[in-house]
Amino acid sequence: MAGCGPAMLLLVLLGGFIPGRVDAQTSSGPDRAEAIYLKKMLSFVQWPTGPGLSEEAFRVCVAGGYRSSYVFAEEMRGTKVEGRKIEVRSVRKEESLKNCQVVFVGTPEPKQRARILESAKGTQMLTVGDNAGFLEAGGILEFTYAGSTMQFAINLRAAKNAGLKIDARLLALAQRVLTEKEAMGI
Amino acid sequence: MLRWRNISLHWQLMLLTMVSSSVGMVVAMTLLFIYNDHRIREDKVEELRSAADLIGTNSVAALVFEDQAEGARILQALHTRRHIRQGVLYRADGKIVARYQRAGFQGGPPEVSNPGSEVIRWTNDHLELSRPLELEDRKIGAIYLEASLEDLQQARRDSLLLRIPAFMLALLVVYLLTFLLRSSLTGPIQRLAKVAREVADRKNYSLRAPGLGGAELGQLGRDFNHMLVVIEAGNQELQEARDSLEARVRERTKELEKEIAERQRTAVMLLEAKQAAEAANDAKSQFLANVSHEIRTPMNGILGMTELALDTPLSVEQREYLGIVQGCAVSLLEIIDDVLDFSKIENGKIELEKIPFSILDCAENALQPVAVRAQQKGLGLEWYIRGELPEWVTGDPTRLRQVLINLLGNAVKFTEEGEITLGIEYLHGDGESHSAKFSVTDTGIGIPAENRAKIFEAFQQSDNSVTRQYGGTGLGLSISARLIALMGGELQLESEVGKGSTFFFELQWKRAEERESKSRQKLEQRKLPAARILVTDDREAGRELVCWLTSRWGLEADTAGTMEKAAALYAKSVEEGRPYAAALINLNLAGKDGHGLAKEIRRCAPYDATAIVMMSSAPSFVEDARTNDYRILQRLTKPLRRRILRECLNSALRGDERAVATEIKKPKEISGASCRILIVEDNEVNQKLAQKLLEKMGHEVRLVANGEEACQALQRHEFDLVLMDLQMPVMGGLEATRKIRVSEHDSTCGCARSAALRGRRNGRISEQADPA
Repeated sequence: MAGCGPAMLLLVLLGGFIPGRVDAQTSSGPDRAEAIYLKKMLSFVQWPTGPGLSEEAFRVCVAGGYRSSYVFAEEMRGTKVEGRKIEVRSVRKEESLKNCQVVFVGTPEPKQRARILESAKGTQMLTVGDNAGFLEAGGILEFTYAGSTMQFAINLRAAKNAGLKIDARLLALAQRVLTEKEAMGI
Repeated sequence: MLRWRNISLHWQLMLLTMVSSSVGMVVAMTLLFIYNDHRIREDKVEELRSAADLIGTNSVAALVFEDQAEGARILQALHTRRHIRQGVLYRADGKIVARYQRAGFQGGPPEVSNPGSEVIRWTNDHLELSRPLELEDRKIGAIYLEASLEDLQQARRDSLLLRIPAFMLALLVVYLLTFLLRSSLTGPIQRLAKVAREVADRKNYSLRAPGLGGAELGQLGRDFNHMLVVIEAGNQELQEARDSLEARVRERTKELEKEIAERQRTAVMLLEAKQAAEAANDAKSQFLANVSHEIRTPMNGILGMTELALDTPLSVEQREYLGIVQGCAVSLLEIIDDVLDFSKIENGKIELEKIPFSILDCAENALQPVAVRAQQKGLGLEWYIRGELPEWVTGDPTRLRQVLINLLGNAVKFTEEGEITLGIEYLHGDGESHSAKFSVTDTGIGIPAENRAKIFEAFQQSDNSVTRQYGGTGLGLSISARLIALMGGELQLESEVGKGSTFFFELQWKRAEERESKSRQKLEQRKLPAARILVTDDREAGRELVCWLTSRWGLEADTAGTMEKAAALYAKSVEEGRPYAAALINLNLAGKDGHGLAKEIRRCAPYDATAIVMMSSAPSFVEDARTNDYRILQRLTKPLRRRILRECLNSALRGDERAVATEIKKPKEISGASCRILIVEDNEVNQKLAQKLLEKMGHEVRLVANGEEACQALQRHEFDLVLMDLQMPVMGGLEATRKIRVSEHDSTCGCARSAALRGRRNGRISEQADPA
């Protein structure tokens, strides 16, 4: 795997910041780093609130077969988003994505990815992926790796379509922001 | 140092203005400075806060994702703020994420600061702010900012530099303004002061102050003017009042002069009236004296002739009539004497003598004439002496005797039964001066309290009915009271109606040398032998008198008030083997006969052991058989006379058996030596009376009518005695006596001389022709 080395380096860095979690992350690989990042990012994203939603758990779904939802569940345990408990689920079928607020698309396979993104259209889901071309495929947040550092890019148009507001401060940290214009150009 | 009050008003005003504006400016500037400083500091904090807000908000994501580069980039934005010299971002655990330092700032990073809330800290040269950064209520780190205070200090310096010249400029402006405006304030005051000075200097109250500007000054000017108006008016009124006062004074002076003149006239009239009254009074006294004298002369005739007639053989009826005539004449004479005395006292013409006399003699002499009357009424008459009374004093024995006789006589007059007691009580003395209290006590009718003061007034008695019952002029007490007052005492009275009265007074005398006659001295020198005697008398006064006298004669006296006690005492003395040498027994012993005691004494002891002397005041006190039965030595009549008592005791103690039955002796006939006597008297009645009386005594009498004749008679004949009247025609008694003395014809003119001298002293006629 090409992204394995830099992810490990970041993990070392993170481990310096978050002591006590190094052991758990070593076996989990880049998934864990991404889970931590995602968890932090949830504070900078604003979902449109609808009736009845606040009663339910904030659902983070992991789609894409082999990617284990275990690491996500472990990292996000106890965290709350806008007062709602986070619930991590592993999803196999596109139909099951209905009630998810965040969907992590782990599959590198373009067809499956497209199918998932297609089913996410018209919903208020934050789509997150770590494969190249995810933004261009219509995803909102993409984890990228530049050398030793894990970075992220944001598709502002997709976010707007999904009705999500991304904090500017987060945007300031993004390695690449795909504005409406750029997205239209693709 | 210049005193504030000596500084001129102008400079006072200047100083006041300058000082007050300076103070005001300093206060204002200080307040402004404080406010500005506060504002600057507030701004400073606010600026730092806003910077912290901005940086903090912006750096949240960088902190969350621990993006150091982004943090540094955000902090770099601080370089636009000149005063912020350092900024630091911390992670939640205190580690530094990013740090910014202004170029040229030398200080290191601050100590690790991880505040729970915003902290602002001022130091000398900088301001610090540290504040926690949060995301969704979670603390994600902290920000620290540090601002330099150089600008603040600079601002302070600048404002101070700016304010000093501003202050000076303001003061200058104030000075100039005050200088320009002062005259508007001080000018009017100075003008007013000038007017006041002029008014004071020239006393010109018609001046007026000019109108002054300003409310207070204007009012002051108006008030000043008003005051001047009032003073002017007041002055005018004062002048008018003075004028009118002078007029009134003149008027009043005239009135007063008139009044004084009138009073003087009144005074003169009063004086004249007084003189007239005095003259009238004198005339009255003179008249009384003359009338008394004129009455006394024929009264002497009546009395003397009556006495002579009574000595002739008469029938019982004639004798009785003549007795009544004599009694009436004596009464009349007493009345005339009283009136004369009273008149003398009233006119202050009584002069008291100051000669040595014996108080005891005086008392005895006063008792004697009263004793007869008391005996006639069956009254007891006692006297006693208490205390160490000096016998001889200097005073007026005649007047004292007169007073005592008067009081005793009154007592006898107003007492029907009982006794009269004369008490002499020595009070005190200091060798020279001695005082004694005299009292006359009776058991008479008494005097009601309401009349006690009145009875000393002239012509008053206890009440008018008393006068009718007892007779008398009522002058006696009045005369006595006045005589006592003249002698320096006061006649006082204690009385109980129905029980009796006590009149008493106190007198004071100088002690005098004893002047005893030779015969008396001889008598006194014959000392009594020391002996014990027993005095038995139911009257305390009687016992007291005998004790007082006998103790001075060296005798020891025991007393008894009753027969029983006396008998017991006597029996005891016999038992002791020394019976009393003499026993004095009162005839009346509380109703019992004193002879009973005599009998008892004789029964107890041999007759020669004790001499018995009986005493009594009863008039029927005569010898009877018992005198011999009990060998009674002598009978003494009360009131006791000292000489008699002494002689009696002397004979009793010496065993002299010469018994004298009674001490009342018949008047001794002047026998033996017949004298040749010249009577010089112009009044025929008196001539006759004197002649008859003297011839009756066996003397050879020759009569002449005046002094000249007396002198002629003395040249031709020899006389043993000359009796000379004072007031006679041709030549008076005084002149004749002088003439006789000059020619030294005869040395036996004693009586005449003494009569003459007495007449000169009293300045009036003293009749000494009492036939008794």
